[in-house]
Amino acid sequence: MNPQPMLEVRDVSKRFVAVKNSESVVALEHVSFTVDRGEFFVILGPSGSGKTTILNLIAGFEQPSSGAVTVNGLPVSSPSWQRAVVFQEHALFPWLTAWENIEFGLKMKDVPPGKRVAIVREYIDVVGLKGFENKYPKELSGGMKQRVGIARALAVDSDIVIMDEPLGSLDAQTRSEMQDELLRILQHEKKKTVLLVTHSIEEALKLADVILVLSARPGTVKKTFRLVQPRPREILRDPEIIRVNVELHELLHKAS
Amino acid sequence: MTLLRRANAAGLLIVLLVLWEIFSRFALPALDTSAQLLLPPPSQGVRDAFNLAQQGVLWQHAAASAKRVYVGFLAAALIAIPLGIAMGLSRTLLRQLNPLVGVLRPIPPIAWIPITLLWFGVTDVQQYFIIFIGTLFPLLLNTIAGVHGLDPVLQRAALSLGARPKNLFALTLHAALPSIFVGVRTSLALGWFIIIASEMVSASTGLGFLIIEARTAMITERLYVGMFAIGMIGFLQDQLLVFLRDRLIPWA
Amino acid sequence: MGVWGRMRDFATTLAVLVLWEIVADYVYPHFVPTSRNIFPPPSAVIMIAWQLLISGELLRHAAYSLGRVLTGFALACAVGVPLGLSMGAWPFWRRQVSVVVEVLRPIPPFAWIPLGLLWFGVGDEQSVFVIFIASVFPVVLNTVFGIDAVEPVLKRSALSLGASKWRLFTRVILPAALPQIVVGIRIALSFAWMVLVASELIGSTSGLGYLILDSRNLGLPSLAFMGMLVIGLIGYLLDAGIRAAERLLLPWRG
Repeated sequence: MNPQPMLEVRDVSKRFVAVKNSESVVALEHVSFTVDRGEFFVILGPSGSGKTTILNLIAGFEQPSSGAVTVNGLPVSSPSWQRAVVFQEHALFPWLTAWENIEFGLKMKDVPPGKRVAIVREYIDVVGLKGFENKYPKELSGGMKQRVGIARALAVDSDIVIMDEPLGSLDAQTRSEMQDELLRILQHEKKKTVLLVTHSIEEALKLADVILVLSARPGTVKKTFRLVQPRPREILRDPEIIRVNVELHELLHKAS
Repeated sequence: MTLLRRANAAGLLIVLLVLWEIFSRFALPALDTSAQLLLPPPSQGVRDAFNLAQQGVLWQHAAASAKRVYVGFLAAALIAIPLGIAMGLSRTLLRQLNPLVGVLRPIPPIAWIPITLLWFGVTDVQQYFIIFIGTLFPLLLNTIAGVHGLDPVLQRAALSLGARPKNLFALTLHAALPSIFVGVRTSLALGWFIIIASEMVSASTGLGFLIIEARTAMITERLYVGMFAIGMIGFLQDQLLVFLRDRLIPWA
Repeated sequence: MGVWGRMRDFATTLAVLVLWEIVADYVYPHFVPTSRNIFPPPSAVIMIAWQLLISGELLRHAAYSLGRVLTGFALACAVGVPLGLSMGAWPFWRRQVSVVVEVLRPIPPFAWIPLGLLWFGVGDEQSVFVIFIASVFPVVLNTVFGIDAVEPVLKRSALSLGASKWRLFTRVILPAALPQIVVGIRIALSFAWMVLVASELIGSTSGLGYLILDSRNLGLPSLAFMGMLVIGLIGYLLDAGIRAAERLLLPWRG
């Protein structure tokens, strides 16, 4: 018996109307997919493919023009801590220290102070920021800021964690390291449902349980892949992964 | 810069001062007996400063000026900051008040002096008003800019962590603080500029008055004293503000 | 947005003007009999503006004021820009001059007025002098700042393309620093205008500042209001003028 999926996107379309000339742009057209509990779901697509739009719809920042998005059985109509987001630009509050940033969501949930301290301390450890908890974002490197962003989203223990190209602003080296870090951090979380949006094939192959390929203009579902190999993966060695890799490259090449 | 380097850099300044002293002390009297009244040597200025300081006169005048600046500034801040936040958040309010601000802002505060003298007479209130009108607009504009400068991503981040409308308001305020502080710094500096002119026209106390009185009484070196006292206070005030900023908003 | 939307923006302003007119004409006189002298309605301001405009007086005084500002301001640029450039070019010179500048800069320009009066007496020269003092510092500082801000990459690429030191200065550094220099000029102009008014209020017999002062003697607050608004308007136009000139002369600036 299949338990109810965590996230359901049903026949979602999104149209944007430009204010200046009343022209409309169809960002997404008839997109449908489901994400099961505990899955690491990656949406892969070139820029302009509407993957950010999907993310905004799921997070609740915007409403679909048609179709429905439900999380945990409930329709999504506004942002909520149940769908915590990790942003590409980290979006840390500059006037709060790393500690206070991570604590933010807990304060919003009225978690009592004693419990807050315990949770924040735990996550500082998990993301490896011990010793930096009292630094302001301006004093942290890009990679560290992203760790804070991840810790902040995880600390609220949401149903689903949404990540919008979280490693996009990092250099290649740091990015690769952070991908491994991310896997390690998520191991600490019992079966967290993660939705990650990226344009990096390598990232998708390294991290995903399911890869959904989105095509561009308008955004539609091209194909879905399921990877069962345990992580961390040797993406350059496993023949099955190599096959998927090649196909992904072709799809993406045609999609953009 | 190390102290020695600093001292070296003051070379030109020292040379100029010495030249001035010599020129004023020896060359001028040779040209004309009363020429020294036009450009007394700096040493005389220093002496006068000491006298005034000792008599307490200097401090009294400085305090009178300071009171006017800070009262006027406070009044402006009490209006400009809340109004600025409101105008920053509400497009409608901003557009409605924009023409009024656009017309009033370019008017130099000094130009308000005659009309305020008519309204308030030669009183401290008149001085407060001049400072008020002079500091209002920089504060207002910087506050609006601060509110507008809030990165929309931060708003989304807050919402995705469970923030409610009242939290968002606190968020906007926090993000606007650096800009508001710039407004405070600018307007306080401006306030000191303005008070001098205002006191020169219509006051019987204060550093501006000191300067104009010195001219009337032909105690020219006192002009230097007044000028430098004001400059020094302005400089110290700014340093204090920077110190406060590093304390209050270290994260900026 | 349309014309209608544009006009809607002036709703509050219109309301304020109407209220002002009503209060000044009817409410105030009710409580204070001689109030007309203190609180002129907008209609009175417009009337006197019109009067002075057609008599040519307004233009005459404005011309005096503008003349002083532009003279002092031009002097400040003529002295300030080369000084700033020289400071940018020779670090030793820069350090020396910086100290002098830092000592003189905190002194409010207004504070120079009595000295100006002492040295030049009542009249044009005193105004020009004080305006010069007020304008020269922003110009110098921003010129130096502009030169500092020239990206080293630009300098290096020019040198690697064989530019001589002189060429480097005139063809690369100068244009690159120009935007910041213009910023200094704009600030200087606004200072100049502010200081002009004060210097005319205190020590002059012509000009817009004098006009406001005279309003007191003549018991014509509407004149003061009008003077203030005209001063504000000209100040705004001067700034707009510089911004337009900047767009023309520095079209590469985004």
